[in-house]
Amino acid sequence: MASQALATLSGAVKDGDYKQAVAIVNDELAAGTEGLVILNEGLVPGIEALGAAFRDGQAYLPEVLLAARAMNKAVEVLTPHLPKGEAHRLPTVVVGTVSGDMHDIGKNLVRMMLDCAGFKVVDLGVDVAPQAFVDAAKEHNASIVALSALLTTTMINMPEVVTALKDAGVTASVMVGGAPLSRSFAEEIGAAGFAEDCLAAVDEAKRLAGI
Amino acid sequence: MGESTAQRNRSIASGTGDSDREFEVRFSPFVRHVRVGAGTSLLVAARRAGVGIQSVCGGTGSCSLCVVELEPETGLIAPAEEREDLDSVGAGPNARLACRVLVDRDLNVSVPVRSFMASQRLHLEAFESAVEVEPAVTVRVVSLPEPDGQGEGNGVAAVRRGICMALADPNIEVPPGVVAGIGALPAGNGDQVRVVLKGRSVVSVARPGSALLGLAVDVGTTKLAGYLVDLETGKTLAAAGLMNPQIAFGEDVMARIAYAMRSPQDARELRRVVVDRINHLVRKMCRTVRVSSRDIVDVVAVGNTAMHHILLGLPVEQLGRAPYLAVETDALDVNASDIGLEVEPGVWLHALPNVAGFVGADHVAFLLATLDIHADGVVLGLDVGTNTEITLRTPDGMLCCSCASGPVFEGAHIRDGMRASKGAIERLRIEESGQVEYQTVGGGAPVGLCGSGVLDVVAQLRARGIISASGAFRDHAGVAQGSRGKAFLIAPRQVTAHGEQVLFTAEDVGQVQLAKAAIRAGTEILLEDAGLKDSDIGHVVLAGTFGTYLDPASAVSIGMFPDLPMSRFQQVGNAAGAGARAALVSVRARERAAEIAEADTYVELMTHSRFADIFTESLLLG
Repeated sequence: MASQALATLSGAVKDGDYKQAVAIVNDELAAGTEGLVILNEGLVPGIEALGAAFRDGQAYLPEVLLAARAMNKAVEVLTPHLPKGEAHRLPTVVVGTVSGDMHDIGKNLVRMMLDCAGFKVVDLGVDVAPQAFVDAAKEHNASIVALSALLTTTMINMPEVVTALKDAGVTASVMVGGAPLSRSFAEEIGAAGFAEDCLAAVDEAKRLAGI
Repeated sequence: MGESTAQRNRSIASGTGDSDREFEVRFSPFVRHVRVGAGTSLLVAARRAGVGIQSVCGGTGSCSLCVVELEPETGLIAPAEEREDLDSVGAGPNARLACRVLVDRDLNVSVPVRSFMASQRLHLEAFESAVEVEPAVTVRVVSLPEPDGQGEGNGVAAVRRGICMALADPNIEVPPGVVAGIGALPAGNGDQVRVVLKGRSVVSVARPGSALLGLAVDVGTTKLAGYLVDLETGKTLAAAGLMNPQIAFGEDVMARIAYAMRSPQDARELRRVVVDRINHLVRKMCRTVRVSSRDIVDVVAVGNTAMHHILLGLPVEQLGRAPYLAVETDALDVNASDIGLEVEPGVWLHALPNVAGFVGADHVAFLLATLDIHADGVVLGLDVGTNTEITLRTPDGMLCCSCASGPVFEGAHIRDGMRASKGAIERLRIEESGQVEYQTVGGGAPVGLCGSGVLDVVAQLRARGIISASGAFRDHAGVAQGSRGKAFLIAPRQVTAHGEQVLFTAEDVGQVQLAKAAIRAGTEILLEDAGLKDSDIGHVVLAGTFGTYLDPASAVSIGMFPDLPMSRFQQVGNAAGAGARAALVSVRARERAAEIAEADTYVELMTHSRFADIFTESLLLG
């Protein structure tokens, strides 16, 4: 019975139906299903299925955003029922949108996917100054600093962050992403990693963390 | 002289022709016909038949909007010059400009959708004729005093002194370039001259009776529109449009800003190419209506904030990063030839005010032309483009925002998207049987989809249940699995003009969802901030090319616009151009534009706490 409901939960996440997703999570919690089981057997397979469809060109950004919303709302309900620390066993990633840029939709997707994959994520928000990246990377002993920019006019603020991290002796790897970026741009500015989208970001983060 | 030519041209359009010989003109797809005298233009015949055909140039053949199709056997083939204009708007081989065809036999005329003046269309002509003509320049006809015999003859100083004396004002400013032009006039000796003044500064000195012309320019990211206006009557003599040549430096505003940021030389280059093209536009219009650009005595320019700043040589770096600040939001008056316009050296350019970094003078001009038409109630004004600017006017004030709707409705980022040129599907319906019916620009075989077609496809796919609310394709006979995702077949290669399939892919659906969600989220946030709900909106005014051609029913059905009765939607065409023309002929309109810009309060969506939630919800397709 439970597995049937969890399969429906996966479907609700994949279809972006957050109301159904939240309702099933509540039902399952009431029925005594463990939080970690709901997460790993209901929510995560749903978002992974959509991720696979996205990678194959069977789903596009709007569906990913709707699924992400369903996932986030369900996780919000679930979090008090999850054992502390259990879900985040991978290294720490500091994420943020660079200075002058207020766009956070792409950055938030990356945060969520890294989070689901088990990374500990520190989100600095948007319009983040280079020094703020440096401070956060030191404070949280981050393995990776992930920079986002959506505009051609703000991606040019990325090299400054790379330099600031280097000058401060931060050893974390830098990865970058955002609509106008390319791998060659990443190489040019001395970033160790680049990701085309939020799924590639997980693979790239794992590669940089040596996982 | 120029004026009489223009009048002659106008009389063609409004000409009644001979009354002794009459012919029958039938208009399809309207079931309308009319009998008119020989020599009557088709545009006039259409009006008499109650068939609304678009036209902004007053029938002078310069706006290329009144495209109609004649039967090939009619043999009334467009002359070369008209053919060129028809080609530039993608019209088919049997097309003519209605204002250019004089009836001399019975005719069957087909009116393409693009030329319709929809019944809900706001008649901006009415707005324009209501604008009281009161130009920013004043005209004085005076006699220059005879040379004062101090050995200067008709030299610069003498002319300057003469004008000051004649105007009985010692503080008149006579720019050196203006004086140089006076040499060409007949010598003093009591001869009268017409002095045009802007405040206390002399704009031009010419013979009395010379035409008094104004130029209005709308600098869009993609297109430039120019209007030549008679400042004595307020009538538009000519209208013309060209592509903005800055496209070569980047498709969108951000790319242009990035280019301008590279070096001061690059910034100047961006300005130079657009000014060159405006000069070309002016020459073209002057040629069409046979007037001299030397008779242009005033200029008004509008554009989005980035185009405005580039044109005026203001810095743009700060427009490229949050919080996207305009250097100048007030109206500006600058010397027109200083920025490179080929007009007389004393002529001024008035740039309408901006509201914010992404709500520019073009939006102010749009509001100027449309806002006061509805005296009461809540009005939602949208100028739909790559950036969609929205203003919500309530009894308590005005709020505005800018939405990053992207270029999908200009045909970009869509697999088979294209501009609204020949072969573009502009209207589409999917029958219950799955059969696809469509209409193309020019009426020929399809090549792709323009913005209104793109919108129709998504609305129809959703209406037929072929896609889900989240945008996923369902199983359907018309849906095929391609190498990169599913796609719906709109036209098989056997029927297309280029022998390739016209498809609508899952990715295309996603692009439309992102665009429409941005527009809807902007609207909802303004409503929320104003404490209103959808049903409080009395009128929705849609401007811009896409805004004018789109089917509001399609837009409502996918949730791009609030669900309101169709009678509340009005499509106004290039209202920014109408606003710019109003500001050109009326100082009162300039004052009103300043009031509007001052009152319109900018709401930043990116940092709005509700944006992400509303945007995500708005991704759903109704």
